[in-house]
Amino acid sequence: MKRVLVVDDSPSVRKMVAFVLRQGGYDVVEAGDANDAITAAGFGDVRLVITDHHLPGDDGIALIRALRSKPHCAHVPIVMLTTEAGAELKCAARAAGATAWIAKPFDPQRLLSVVDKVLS
Amino acid sequence: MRTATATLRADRQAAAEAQGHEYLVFTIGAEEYGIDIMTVQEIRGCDPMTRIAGAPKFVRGVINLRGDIVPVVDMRMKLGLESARYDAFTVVIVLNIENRVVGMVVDRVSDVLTLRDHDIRPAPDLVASVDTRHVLGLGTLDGRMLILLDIAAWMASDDMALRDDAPALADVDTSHE
Amino acid sequence: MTGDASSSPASGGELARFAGDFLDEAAEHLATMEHLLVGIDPAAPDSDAINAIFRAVHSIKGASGMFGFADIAAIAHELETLLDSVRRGDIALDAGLVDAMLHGTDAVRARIGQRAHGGASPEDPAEVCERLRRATGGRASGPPRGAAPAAVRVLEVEYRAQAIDADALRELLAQLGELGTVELVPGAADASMRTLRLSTDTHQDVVRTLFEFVMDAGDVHIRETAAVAPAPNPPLARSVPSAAQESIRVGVAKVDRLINQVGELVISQAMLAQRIAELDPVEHLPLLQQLADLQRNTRGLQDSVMSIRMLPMATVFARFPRLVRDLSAKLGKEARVEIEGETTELDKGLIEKIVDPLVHLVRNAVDHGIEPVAERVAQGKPRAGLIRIAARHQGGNILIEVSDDGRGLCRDTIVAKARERGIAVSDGAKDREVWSLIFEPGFSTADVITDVSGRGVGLDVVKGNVASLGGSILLDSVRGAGTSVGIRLPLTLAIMDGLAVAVADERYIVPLAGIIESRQVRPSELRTIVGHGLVMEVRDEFVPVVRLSTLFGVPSSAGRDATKCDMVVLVETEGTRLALAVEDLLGQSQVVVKSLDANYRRVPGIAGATIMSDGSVACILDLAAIARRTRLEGGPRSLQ
Repeated sequence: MKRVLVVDDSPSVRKMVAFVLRQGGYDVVEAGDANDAITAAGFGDVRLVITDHHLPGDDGIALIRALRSKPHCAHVPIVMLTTEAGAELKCAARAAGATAWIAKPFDPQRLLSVVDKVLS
Repeated sequence: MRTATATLRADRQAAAEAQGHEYLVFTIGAEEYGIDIMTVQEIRGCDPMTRIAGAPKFVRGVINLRGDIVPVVDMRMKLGLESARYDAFTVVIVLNIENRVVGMVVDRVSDVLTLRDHDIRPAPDLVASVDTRHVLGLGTLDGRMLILLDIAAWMASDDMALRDDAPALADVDTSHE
Repeated sequence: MTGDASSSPASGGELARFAGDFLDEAAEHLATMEHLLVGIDPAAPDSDAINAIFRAVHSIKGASGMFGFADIAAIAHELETLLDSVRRGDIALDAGLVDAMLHGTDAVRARIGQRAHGGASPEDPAEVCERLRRATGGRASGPPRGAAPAAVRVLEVEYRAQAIDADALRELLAQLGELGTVELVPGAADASMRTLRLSTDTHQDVVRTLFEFVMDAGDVHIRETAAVAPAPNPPLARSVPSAAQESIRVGVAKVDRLINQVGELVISQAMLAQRIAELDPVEHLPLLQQLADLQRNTRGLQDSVMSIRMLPMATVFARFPRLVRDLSAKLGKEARVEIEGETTELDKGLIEKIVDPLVHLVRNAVDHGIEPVAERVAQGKPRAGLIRIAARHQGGNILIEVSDDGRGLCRDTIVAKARERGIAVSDGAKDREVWSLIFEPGFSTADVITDVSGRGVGLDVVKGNVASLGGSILLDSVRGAGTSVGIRLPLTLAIMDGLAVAVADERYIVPLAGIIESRQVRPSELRTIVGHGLVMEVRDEFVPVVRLSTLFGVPSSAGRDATKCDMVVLVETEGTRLALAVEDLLGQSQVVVKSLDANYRRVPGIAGATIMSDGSVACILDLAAIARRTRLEGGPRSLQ
């Protein structure tokens, strides 16, 4: 099973995303902030990271940059899942190394299809 | 599909009617009474009771039933007879009515009988000691005559004074500051 | 991007199960927001606080959209926009804006509450949003565009139709629509390509990145028709670290069941101990030692389990700063709140029940206690009145105090009012007794009846509430200096320390918390006073003697000499002292409180029941009820 790391400071959002992903046959680990996310990604078997932008401490884009700077996850696809949809933010995320973007509120089917596509 | 279900339901109902209802039969004084078996939680001997201040005479006290405090009604007194004897042979029928548990002391528990609808006829004035509201009817089986009680309604009624919404029989402290 | 209720992903589908979690989480965010908003200084706002509030609103907005809570999302969006503008420095914060945001917070809380518990429909969200927009004078209007209206350029974007799916395209078009105007140009040269014309002041690279996010770079081509300086990037949000919380949510029913089971364990163990006590200690030493171990472990387990239901008083106290702020503003006064001991813990069931009485006391303090600013200044007091709310443990109880430095109670006014109502008050009555008069029903010393605390309503209700929790209430006051109300509550309703007493041949339990002392009585200490019955002289006062055997109509006590009295238990409850006459003292123990009214009525004078170590039932006294009855009747008469 492919493992996905879900990063969001809201436990209920994490639960929902995890639920959808598990139904889609993925294994899920969760993190509530950037630090935990980097630790979780350090275990090496994370195939995809889904992260919000607004996090306590370092934000989502800082997290993307941090992940991209680490050899073991430099090539892991990272999807932003956030209510923010501003063009400037999207560009900044892309520049930092984000792979794709899904807007909140998310449609479970849409999330799965993006994840499937990115991981194929 | 619908017809088949309806038929099945009707069949079941008919079977139930044919089978009848189960009643727990007990004796008080010279009479035999029956109550719906579904109201009965258990039957046990009588543990030492603790008197509760202000309770009506026929509520003898409370017992500890596996951690719950349960009031005990002396049905003999309720039916106008002398109080029951409380010793090693005393029988208590423990009722569970809508999650409220109450015990009632009777002389003897006989058995569980099944009565069908046609075994029961109305009994308007025959029973002097019980309010007719609480009598379901008179059951006859094998020559025995059973006074069938609506024990659930009776226990919940003001008559038993077991509930807070029922006005108490004794003079209650009404000084609610 | 908020869907309406019918189309949101989680509104009806399988994700709806998480709605409860969201409502809980949202409630926590709202509490944080309110706490920070109340504490903010508009003149010098703490940017960390602003960011924390922003993040809380943002969370609520995002999650509420998932469940189709469009109303909540809309209000949250307005709050977010407002906060964002404050954050960027686009608008200055002032008290009016803080108020508007507090109202917005209330509105969201009302809607969350309605979804969680049902109830009355709250305010129309459109009105709330309108009010928020108006509060900024319309200044906050979303993310700022370029500084000056930059020259608009026209971009032509060609993209491969197959490179993007319908949903992504819809999103992208919406995105482009925010940047300018988009039109589809028909008749592309290549049938597999589509052409869009975009009029925008955004730089081409931004548009290109947006496209490349969703398709390969090779599938999109962009041509510009005019060149302009690119708009500068706004600073990204600075986030505030928040405390991580390690916890599990457990249903209250589960916890209660656990507490019951531990209670049963305690009883079984006590019964075991009693039987083992009859054995020869020398012969059965190992058994006794193991029993001692068992008792220690059970005690430890009991403490741990009881602590699960304990919550800090902060959950109650948190609302007071806001309450005092709003109320004093409404009354044209100034008042501030000092809170002490908010980490003191109390059983969850008791906390829920003590909230209303405490709110009442605090409102009273602001309404009747604290004087208007001019009066305070004239007396040399600080402008703002001080309301102090404190909690601490004492023995097996919690002591909660609400005090103010206001005008205090006027003894003469109270005595006069009492006499007016036909209550006899002797001139030599102690202050403590005079103060306790205001707990009588219908009593209000307010000269002006405001709509805040109601017409003479309440202090008697407060006392009743406290009494029903097995607690007591005491009031002290100094004219001109202030008033202090103290509430003493048992830490938990489930387990209590009690003294077993013999009353004729029955047993009763006296709550230890109320006991001053228990001893034999000398005949010289007893006296019969006309109109008051038997009293006992204790230090310098006469304390009414209550014969429990008479009070509870114990049959076996009939015929006994009513004036004979050997043992008394001296108790104090709600400022009243009583001497309970009993036959014997049977020993102190911790008892598990069982409900009598689960299967029976409430019995006057009895607070509950417990199971003794021999398995029999004993009733627990309701000291407050007994005291009330004695006071009323002017002597110990039967409760029956």
